[in-house]
Amino acid sequence: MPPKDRFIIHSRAVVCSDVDLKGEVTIGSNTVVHPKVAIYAIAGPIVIGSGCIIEEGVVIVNRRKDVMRIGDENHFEINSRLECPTMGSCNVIGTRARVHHTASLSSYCVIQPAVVFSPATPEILPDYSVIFDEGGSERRIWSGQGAEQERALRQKHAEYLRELLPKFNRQRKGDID
Amino acid sequence: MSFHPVVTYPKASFIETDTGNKVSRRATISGPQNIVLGGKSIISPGAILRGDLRKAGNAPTVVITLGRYCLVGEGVVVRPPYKTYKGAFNFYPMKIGDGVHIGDGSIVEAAQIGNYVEIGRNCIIGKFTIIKDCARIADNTVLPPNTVVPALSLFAGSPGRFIEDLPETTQEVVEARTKAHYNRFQPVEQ
Repeated sequence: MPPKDRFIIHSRAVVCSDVDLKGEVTIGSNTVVHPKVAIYAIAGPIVIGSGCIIEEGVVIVNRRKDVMRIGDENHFEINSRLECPTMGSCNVIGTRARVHHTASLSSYCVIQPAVVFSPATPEILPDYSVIFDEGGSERRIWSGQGAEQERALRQKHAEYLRELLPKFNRQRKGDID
Repeated sequence: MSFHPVVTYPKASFIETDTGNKVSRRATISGPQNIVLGGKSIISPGAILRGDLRKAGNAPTVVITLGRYCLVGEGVVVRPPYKTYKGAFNFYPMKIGDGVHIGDGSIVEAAQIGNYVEIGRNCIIGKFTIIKDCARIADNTVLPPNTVVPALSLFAGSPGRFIEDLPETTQEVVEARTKAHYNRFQPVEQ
């Protein structure tokens, strides 16, 4: 029995109208959702924090009963796919990367472009992890140098998009403001 | 001359402009006033062209310039690159030359693509990449941001690396192929 559709979109979030939402989805303040994004809360709800950037073609799916929590200031690049149960803040999911439901992310993690990260057993990536190479076979811990600069860039990026996107795209509002 | 069969499409599924561009009705073109198509180019279904991601300011700008005889494959995403310069965040315009074929499912965030470039399927072209004339990018290549691909070279792999030089006849061959591809792509009444 799928849950009823219920979208809570913060009044300061920018969500384009060409976005496919299903189930119980909460989108936090200052988050930017580009057109052609799909967010499917099939079993449990999805809660997205503030200041995230979700680019076109991203698919976020929650197949589990529990709440899928995504933290603040995450960046999902074009065509990435995400099914992880929880995610911290300031992560980057590269272009066409995939994170399976067995993996959870802490904060400041980077999944490089075109990587499929699907550990066989449930796993929580520690802070500052970087996953790269085909099949996500290689990983290392990033020093965290430049994390603040990266964050400043992310904030400027989101701020710029919040001004720009409403000029060219129709916006979508939540059920309750 | 090519001996390949004619590729047909239902007339209603594409919009043909005065200059011979064929744009699928199922393609997503955001900010069309900021996109220039050179003529005789084909935009396939499911392609996404982000003309809305423009520079700051109110002056009219061109975000994506596409040359003649180009092909944007199915599900391709073309979006201008971004960076901060002197503390200000901005998107930068993207130029694509003549006779450029972009294979299905590729994602292009290049700054500049020269003439007669062939990009394979499912490639990822990173931000601010510069691809010079007559280069070829093999299928499934991932070019990291700021890569420069020299003229007449083949790049492949993840991350994309130089594989070999292409023959000097590449320009004529690719030019003929792109023109033939456009001419073969014919509407049928339904």
